[in-house]
Amino acid sequence: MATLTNSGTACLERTLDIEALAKDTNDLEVNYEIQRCVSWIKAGNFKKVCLQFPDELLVDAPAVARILTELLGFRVYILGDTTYGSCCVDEVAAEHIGADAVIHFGRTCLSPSKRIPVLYVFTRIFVDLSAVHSGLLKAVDDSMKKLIFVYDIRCHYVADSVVTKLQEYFSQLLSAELLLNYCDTISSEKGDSHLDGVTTITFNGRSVNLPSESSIKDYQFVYLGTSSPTLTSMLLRFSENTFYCIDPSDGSVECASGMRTVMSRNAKLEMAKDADIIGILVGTLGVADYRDVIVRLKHIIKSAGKRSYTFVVGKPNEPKLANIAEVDIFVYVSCPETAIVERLTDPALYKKLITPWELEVALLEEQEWSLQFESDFRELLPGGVRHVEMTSALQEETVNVSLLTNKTQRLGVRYVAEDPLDSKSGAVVLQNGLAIAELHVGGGGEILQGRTWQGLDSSVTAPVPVGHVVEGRAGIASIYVDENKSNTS
Amino acid sequence: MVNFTVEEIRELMDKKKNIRNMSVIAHVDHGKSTLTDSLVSKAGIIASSRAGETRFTDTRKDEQERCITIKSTAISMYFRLSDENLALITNKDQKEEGESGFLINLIDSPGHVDFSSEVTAALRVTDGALVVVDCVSGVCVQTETVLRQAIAERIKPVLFMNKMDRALLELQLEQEELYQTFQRIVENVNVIIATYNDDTGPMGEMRVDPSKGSVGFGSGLHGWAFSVKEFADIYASLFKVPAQKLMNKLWGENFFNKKTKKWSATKSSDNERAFNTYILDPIFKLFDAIMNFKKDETEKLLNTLQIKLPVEDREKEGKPLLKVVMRTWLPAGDTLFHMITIHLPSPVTAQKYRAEMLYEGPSDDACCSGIKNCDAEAPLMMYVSKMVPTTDKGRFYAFGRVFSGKVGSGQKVRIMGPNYVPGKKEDLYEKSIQRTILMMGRFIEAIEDVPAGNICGLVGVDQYLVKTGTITTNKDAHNMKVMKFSVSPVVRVAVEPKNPSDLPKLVEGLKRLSKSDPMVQCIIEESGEHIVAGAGELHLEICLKDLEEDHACIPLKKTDPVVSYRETVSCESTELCLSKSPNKHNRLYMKAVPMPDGLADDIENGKVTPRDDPKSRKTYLCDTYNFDATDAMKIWTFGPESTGANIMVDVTKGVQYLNEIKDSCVAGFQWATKEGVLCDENMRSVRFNLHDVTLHADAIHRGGGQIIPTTRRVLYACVLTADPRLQEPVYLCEIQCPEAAVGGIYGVLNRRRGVVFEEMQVTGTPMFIVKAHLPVNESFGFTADLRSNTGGQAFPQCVFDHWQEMPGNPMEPNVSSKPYNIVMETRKRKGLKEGLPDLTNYLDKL
Repeated sequence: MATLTNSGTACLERTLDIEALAKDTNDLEVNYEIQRCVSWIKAGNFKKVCLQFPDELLVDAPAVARILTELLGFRVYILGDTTYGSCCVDEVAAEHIGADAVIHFGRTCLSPSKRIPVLYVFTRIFVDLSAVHSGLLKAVDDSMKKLIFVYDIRCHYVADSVVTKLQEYFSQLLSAELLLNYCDTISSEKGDSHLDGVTTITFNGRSVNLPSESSIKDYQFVYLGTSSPTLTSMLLRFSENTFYCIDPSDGSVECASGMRTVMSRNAKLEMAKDADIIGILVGTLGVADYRDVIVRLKHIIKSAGKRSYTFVVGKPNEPKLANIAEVDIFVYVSCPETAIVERLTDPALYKKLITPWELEVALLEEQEWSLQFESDFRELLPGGVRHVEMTSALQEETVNVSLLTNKTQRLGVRYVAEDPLDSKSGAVVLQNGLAIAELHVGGGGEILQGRTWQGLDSSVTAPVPVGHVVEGRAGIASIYVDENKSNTS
Repeated sequence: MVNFTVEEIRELMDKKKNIRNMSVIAHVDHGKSTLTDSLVSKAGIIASSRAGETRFTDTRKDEQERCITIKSTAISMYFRLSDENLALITNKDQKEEGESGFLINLIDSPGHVDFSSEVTAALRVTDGALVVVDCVSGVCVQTETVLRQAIAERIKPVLFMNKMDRALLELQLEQEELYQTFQRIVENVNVIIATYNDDTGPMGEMRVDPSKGSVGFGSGLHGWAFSVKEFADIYASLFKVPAQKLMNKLWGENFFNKKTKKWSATKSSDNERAFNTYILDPIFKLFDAIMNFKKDETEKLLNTLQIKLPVEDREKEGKPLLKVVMRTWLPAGDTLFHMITIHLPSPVTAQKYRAEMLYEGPSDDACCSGIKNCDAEAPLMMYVSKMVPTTDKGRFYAFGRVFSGKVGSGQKVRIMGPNYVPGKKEDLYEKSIQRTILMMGRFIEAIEDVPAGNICGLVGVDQYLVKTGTITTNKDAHNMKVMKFSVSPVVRVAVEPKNPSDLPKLVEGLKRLSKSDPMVQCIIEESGEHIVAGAGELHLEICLKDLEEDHACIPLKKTDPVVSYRETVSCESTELCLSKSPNKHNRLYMKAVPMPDGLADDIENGKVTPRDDPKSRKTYLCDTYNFDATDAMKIWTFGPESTGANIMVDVTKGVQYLNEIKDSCVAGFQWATKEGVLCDENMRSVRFNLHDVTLHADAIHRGGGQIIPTTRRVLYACVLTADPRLQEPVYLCEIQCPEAAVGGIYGVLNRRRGVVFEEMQVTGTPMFIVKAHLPVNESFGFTADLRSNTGGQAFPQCVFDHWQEMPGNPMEPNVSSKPYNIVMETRKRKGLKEGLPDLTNYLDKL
C-alpha cells in the first residue's frame, strides 16, 4: 500500500477484470447494502448525498449510484480519488458540492469525523467459515488460550457467527466490538476505562472488555482478514502480543508480531532529535481534532528549540515532499492507519515520516517510549490515554551525542547569555549596497545562503544577447513528437 | 605517603620550563604499566616494595584481571632533581633558574593495537615519549606503529629496554650477547626514527643514544634500572674522570685493556668492551651470587657496591633478595626521572615546534603565538583529547592539555567541536567551566586553575563535546587540529536489549559509550539496528562489556561480529543511463566510471578534499590521475556526507538552467552514495559523470521534488550498468612467531583467504615476522585459531589497511557467489525488499 510513492503508473497500467464488471444487481444489493443506505438517507431526510468509493471499488460506483438514484428519486454524487487515505471520509470533497451526508463504502479506519453525518457500508469479502475455524484450531491447539478476536472490517457481516463458532472451542476468546458511533462517544468517555473491574481497551475504532484481573499482555490476537493498514496499526499498538492472521478465503494462518517494526522505528526518534526543521505534514482534513494536535505539535517543536513548518500538499507523494528538501523530518498528522509509513513500502522517500506520538517521545521529556506504539494522534490530546502535560513553556538546552551522525545533538532553547564573549552591541556596522549585514541564525536566510543557486541576481547587468526565437518541441513530455520520429527511424 | 602536595604542584605549573609531559608507549606486554609503577612509587604514591605488581595506572577492574592496559591513564608527579643533575640541563628553555622541583605529567597508554586510539589521544597532549621495548622480544610491530605516530605528532622519544631480569635469569645470555641485543634494539629504533623523522626539521635529530643517556636498561618488574649515565656517575668519582667523558666510553666500540690501561676501538683477545666490564659485569656478578645463594660473595659485593639494605630485608635470599638489592642499588624511579628531565622537552621547548602542527588557524594570530610561546597570559587554548568517566554515571571529565592561557574553575569559555567553523555557530557552545581537576591515576584532585603547558581535566564541558574539541576564550580562535587515528572502526556488532522495553536505556547507554572511547562508534542504522563498531575484536569485547555493565546497565543480546561493505563499480556504464523525473519533463543522462586507483584513498586520507582550492586540486588530479583539466574544475561534490570517496562531475556542454538544479542533484547524490543500490551500504570509489540534462523551462517543474529522486534513480541505474562490485575491509596482519610455527600460520591464513606478502626473520633472533592481508570478515576468532595451530607461539596484530574489491558480480544470482550472498544477507538484515534490485526500476527509456 505504497500510498506515498505511488506514481500513478500502476493505475494506468492496471488490467481490469471485465468479468468483475458484469456483476448482477443482486450482488450489489448485498455487497453495498443498498436497502440500508436508502432507509438511512430517508430517515435522515438528506437531500444531497455523496457516495465515497475507494479506488478498488470504483468499478462498481456507476452501478451503485444508478440503483440508488432510481430508488431515491434524486441524484447522488460519487466521490473517487480520495485526497488522503481512502479509509477516511473525504469531508472536504463532500463540502464542495454542499452534501449533507456521505456514505462511505469499503475499508475504513473508523476515525471519527465531525462535520457531516456518515454511513459506513463495509462491503464484503468472501469468508470460508469452516476453513477459518479449522485453520485456527490447527494453529492454536490450547483451548484455554486467552484470545482477542479482531477482523478486517469487510468481514463484519460474518463476525458474529465466527465468534460464536470459535467460542465453542476457545472459551477464553473475547471479541472486539466496533465502535460505530465512535464519534459521539469519544468526547464523553475516551481511552481505557476501568469500570467494575472490567478494563475496556479502545483501539482503531474498536473496543474490547477484558475481565477483571487480566491484562492485555496475557492475550493473543486472532485477526481475520487480509494484510491491511488496519492490521499494521494494530500490530504496532500491541507489539508484545502475537497475532494469528487468518486468511478468510482459505483459512491459512500466519503468525505476526509488530515488535521488530516498533524497535526499528527507534532510529526515527533519533532523526527527530537531530532535526533542525520539522515539517508538520497535514494528512487529513477530516479526522476530528486534527487542528488541536497541530497546535500542540507546533508548541512542542518550538519548546524543543526547533522550527516547524506546516504543509498541506493535498495528497502527499514523493516529489511533493522532496520539493521541501530543507525539512529534516516530517511528522504526519493523519488517521491511525495512514500515519504509519514504512520504508519497505515507501522506499523512495527523501525524508522520513513519523507519527505525532513519536515526535512527542523524541522531543518531550514527559512522554515516554513504550512498546505500545500509538498511531492515533487523538490519544495525545487532553483526555487521551497518552496525553501528558507539557511542564514548561521552553525546554532548557541540553546537548548529547547523536547516534546517527555521531555529532552533537541539541535539544531545547538556548538562552542567550547576558554577556557573550563576542558581544559587540551598539557597534554600528557599515553596509554595502543592500546586502543584509547579519543573517538570523538558523533562519531561512542561512539556508538560502548555503545554496549555490540563489535566484536571479538583479545586480548583474551584463547584457546577454537575445537570440532569435525558434520553434521548440511539440508533443507530450513522455515522448515528444521529434523523439517519436527518431525512435522509429 | 605521597611526598608532595597539590599546592606544590600548582606552584610548579607556573614554572613551565620545569614541566615534562610524557607518555609511555610500547608494544603490548612489554611492561609499560609495570615500569610506570617505579615512578609512581618514587613519588610515594605506592610503596616501593609493591612497585611492579600494583600497576597503579591500570585503574579498571578488568585491566587488573586481564593484565592488559585498556585506557590510558594520566598521573601528575612532583620530584626534585639534584644539583649535579640539574647542571646537565643546559638548554635555558628546559629549566627555570633556581628551581629544582620538576612536575612530570605521565600518561600510561595501552599497547594492544586495538586500543591505539588511546595512544593517539595520549600523544597529542604530551611532548615526550618513553618507548619501552622488551629486550627479549625486541622491537615489535606496535613499537614501530606508536613510534611512527609519536614522530608524526612531533613527540621526542627516549628508549627503555625492559625485562633485563628475564634476559639474565631465563635466557642466561652472555654479556656480549646481551650487549649485541641492546645494540640491535637501539639500531632498530633509530632506523624507525630516521625513516619517519626529517633530521633537518624543526625538531632536529631525534635518535636515541645510550652514550648520551637517552637509553635506559633495567627491569620494571624488579624496580631497577640504569642508563650509562648512572654508571658514569659512579665511576667518575672513582676514577676522577668527568662523567661526560666516561659516558662516551661506556657504550659502543670501546674496549679497555685492564693490564695496559689502554682504550682501543677494536676487540682483541686481551681487552673487553667497556659496557661489559663496567656495567654488565657487576650486575652479572650480583645476579650470580644471589641466585646461587653464595652468601659470602654477596656480602662482599654489597660492600664494594656500597649497597645498604634495610634491616628487614637482610634475611631474604634468592629472587626476593635480588629484587631488594637491585632496587636499592639502581632504583628505577631515579633513572627514569633523570632520563625524562634531561632528555625530554619542556612545553616551552616543544610547543615552539609543535604549534604549527597543532593549530588550524593562521600562524600569526594571538592563539597560535600563545601556543608557540606557551604563554599563560595569552588567550586560552586547550585541546580535549578524550573523555574520562566519572563516578557520576553518564558524566565525564574532559581530559586535555592547556597549550596557551589559563583555564580555571568558573571561567567562561567557548567550547568548539570538530565541526566548528570560525564565524559560524555550529558545534559552538559558550559555557562556564565548573571545576578544573588534576588527574592522579585512580584519584583526582581539585585545583583552582591550570596554566599553559599542563595537562588537566575539566568538569562541566563533557556534554558539549562528542569526544574531542578545543576550549578557548578567544572569539576568533580556530580549532586545534583533530587527531588522526591509525585504526578504524571496521568490526561491528548489532546489540539489542534482552528485554525489548529497555530500548531507551540502551540508546542512553550507547550515547555514553560513544563518549567514553576515542575510537568506538555507536550508530542506529536506518534499519533500526543498534551498531557498536570498534577497531578489533578485543576492543569490541571491552566496549560491549562497558556498555552492558556501566553505561546501559541492562542485559543485552549481541549478534556475531559483522563488517560493513562498500559498493563500487568495475567498469564504465555500458550505456548512457537516462532517468526521467516523476513528471517526465526532466531527464538526466549519466554514466558511472570507477575512480582511478588510489584516488579514493587520497580522498579518505584527506589529500583531496572538497575544501581544497579548486585550482590546486585540479593540478593534483591532472598530474596524478590524468584528469581532464576541464573535468577537474567541474567536480560538483563529494559524497556521502559531502566528504566521501565518490564524486560527481559535470561534463555537460552548454546546458541551460544547469546551475539551478545543482543543489538538487547534489542532494540526490549524497542520498544515493550513502545508501547504495545493492544493499544500502555506502558507495566508494565511483565517479559519476553528468553528460546531459533536459529540463522543463518552467522552474516550478524542475524543483527538488523532481530532481532529487531522479538523480538517485539515475545514479542507481549507472551503478547497475557498470558491472557493480562489493569492497570489503582488509586488515594488515603482522604475526610474530618462531620459525617452527610459520607453517601453521600459512595454514590458518589460507583457510581465511589471507594473503602473505612478506616474511622475514628478525635479525639476531629466531623470530619471524609474517605480514599478510586478511579480510576483516575472516578475522573473527583468528587470534585463537592461530594460537591453537601454532601451540600458542604466534601473536597476530591486525590493523585496518584498505578496501579490497571482492571478485564476482553480486548481481549474478549464484548461490556459491560470495558477493551475491552478502548482498542477499545484508538486504535481509536491513529489512529491505528481498531479491536483487531491478534495473528497470531506475532506468527509463526514451
